Amino acid sequence: MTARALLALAPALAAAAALARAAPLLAERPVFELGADGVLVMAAAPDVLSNAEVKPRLTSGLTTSFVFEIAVTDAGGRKLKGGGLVEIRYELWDEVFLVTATGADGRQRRDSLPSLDRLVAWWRGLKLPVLAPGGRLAAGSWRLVLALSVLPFSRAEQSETQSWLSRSVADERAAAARAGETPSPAAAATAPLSGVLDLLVSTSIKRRSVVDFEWRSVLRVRPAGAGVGADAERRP
Amino acid sequence: MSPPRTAAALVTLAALLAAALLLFEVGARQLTGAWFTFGVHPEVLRQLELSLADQKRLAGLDPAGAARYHRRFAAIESLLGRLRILEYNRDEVVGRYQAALLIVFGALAAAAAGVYLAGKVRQQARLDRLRGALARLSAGEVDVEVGERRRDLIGRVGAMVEETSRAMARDRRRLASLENLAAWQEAARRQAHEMRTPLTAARLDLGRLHGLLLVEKGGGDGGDGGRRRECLQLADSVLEELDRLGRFTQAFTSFARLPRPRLCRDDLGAFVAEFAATFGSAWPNLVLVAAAAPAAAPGGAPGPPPPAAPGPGPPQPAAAPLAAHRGPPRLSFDRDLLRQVLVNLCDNSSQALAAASGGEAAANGGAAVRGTVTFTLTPDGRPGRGGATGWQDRTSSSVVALEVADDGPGIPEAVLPRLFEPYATTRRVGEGMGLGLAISRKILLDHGGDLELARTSAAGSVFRLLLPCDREASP
Repeated sequence: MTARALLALAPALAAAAALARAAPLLAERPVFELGADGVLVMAAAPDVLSNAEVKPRLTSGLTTSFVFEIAVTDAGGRKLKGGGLVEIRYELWDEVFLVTATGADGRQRRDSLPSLDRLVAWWRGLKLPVLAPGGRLAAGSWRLVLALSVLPFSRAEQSETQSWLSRSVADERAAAARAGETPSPAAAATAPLSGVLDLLVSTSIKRRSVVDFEWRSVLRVRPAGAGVGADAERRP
Repeated sequence: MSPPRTAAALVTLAALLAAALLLFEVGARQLTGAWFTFGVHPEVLRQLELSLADQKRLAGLDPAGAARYHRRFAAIESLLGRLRILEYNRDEVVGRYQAALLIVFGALAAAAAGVYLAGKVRQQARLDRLRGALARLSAGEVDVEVGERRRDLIGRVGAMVEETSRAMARDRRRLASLENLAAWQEAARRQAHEMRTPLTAARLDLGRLHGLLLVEKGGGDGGDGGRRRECLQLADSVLEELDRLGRFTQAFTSFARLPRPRLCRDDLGAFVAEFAATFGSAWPNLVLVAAAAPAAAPGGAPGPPPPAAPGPGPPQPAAAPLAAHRGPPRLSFDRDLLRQVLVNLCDNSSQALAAASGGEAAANGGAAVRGTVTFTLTPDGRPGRGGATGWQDRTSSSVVALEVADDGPGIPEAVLPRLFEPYATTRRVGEGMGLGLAISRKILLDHGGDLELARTSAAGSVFRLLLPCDREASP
């Protein structure tokens, strides 16, 4: 097999490997419940925390964010969107997991969990409102797509690091100015560009997801409740 | 710059720029990767984690300082978190940093390329101007102006072209003057020849008639004797007129047969001083003063000005005797002919002064009014002749100017356009032929120099005798 053929196959092989790693997880199906107020609640979330790419992040000291996005579409093509957010941060001093779950209804739930096992149990028992349509969903079949992105740090930590990076560059320049150093001709010539360059570097901090999942289901809404048919797949 | 050349230059520049950017990118990739590794080295992260553990342990060992250890813990934890975020965005940050460096480098390189291109375009425009000037010069145009003021190579070449053009213009004017004078000389020669033959015959016949009248003495004292005396008086009168006509014919002959100068290397300053001393009393109404010029080599910069010349007159740069002149220029000139020029100029000054001061002398009871003629030897300082570029020494000899200034009434403006032409004179008919200045100029042109009127006004006139100074004759 030539190197070119290997190169061409590389993305496919990588996707297959990722799929294999996620296979046990994808076998699990999230369960949805429809509340009396019309809010769609995700219950029995798949055990993402045990995933090999996610687990090491949990104890990094940074806030691992689990971003749920849900879209339901009825037979007529009407589409409703919602989502939820779970943030987990390991408090290194107290050695506890601080968790915050924010549902589509705007309610927040905070907990402090002393161990990873307790965290996994908490995750299993989590009931997260993901869709608040403002009224009860019409009875019938809804196609449901649930996506989960695991981000290694929170938005606040991202912006804090960005400003720290900007400050570091600015402090370095200010220190040089305080020391009375004469700027070199090259530095003087590029001074107008420095602001743009600072911005360019400092905005390089991105919240790329560590791993993404996607489940597809069929939601059958009966007048008295909801049931879920499960077809789940992992997004690359 | 012509379009193909511009395109070629642009392509070359773009290729160079691209190569520079590529090399820079490769270098920056290596350097920025290494720089980033220093910042978020795994060992750094591990040590920070150990520090976190240490702070916790210290807080346990020293409960009183727990708050302090906690604060340190929080700071280290924050730093660790930031570094982990940076580590997570390693590729992005390094890529942005490289892009930033590339932008800076690209901007500088583009600016440098722009400056280079602009310089090339300017240089090409200057070369085009130079080429145009050379084309005009080769087409026979003179007094060509290149308009280059810079001192670089192109500027110096431009100045050389201008100096060459001026030298050509001078030579052309000199040639035209010589041709004009030659035509006048030929006309004078023919006139003199045509006049001399009948004049000689008339003089001989009249001489014989005079002799016959004297022989017939014994004819009686009556009416015949009276007629004979009358005829003798008439013959003397006609002879006198013929003599005058002969003098005019001689003037024609002198102008037509001007000898070629016999050049001998000599000290011009000493020659002028000697002339002033020898001819000091030749013109009763003139005082001759030989003033020294600022001590300088011909064609060089003049030195400090000496004291002013005595007596009224046009502004003079010198008044010290020429004998004191340091390093007088030694030139090749014909002493006899140059003396003739000075005599002609002094003659003109004397006659102009006498004509102007006739009434004044009468008012003074007949005492003649005396004027001053000052001779000043200077390096020629006219623009375009100096050695600004050093080109003059290669295009022509240096020039020394001998200024002859009088304090007479000046020259009427109407005469100025034809001043050096033969028969141009302000005197009454019969008082002069108007050949003096023409002869003087011809003498100087034959020397390779020139005679020009520097300035004239009611306060006097200044003539400038220009004499070339051979390089080997220069001090």
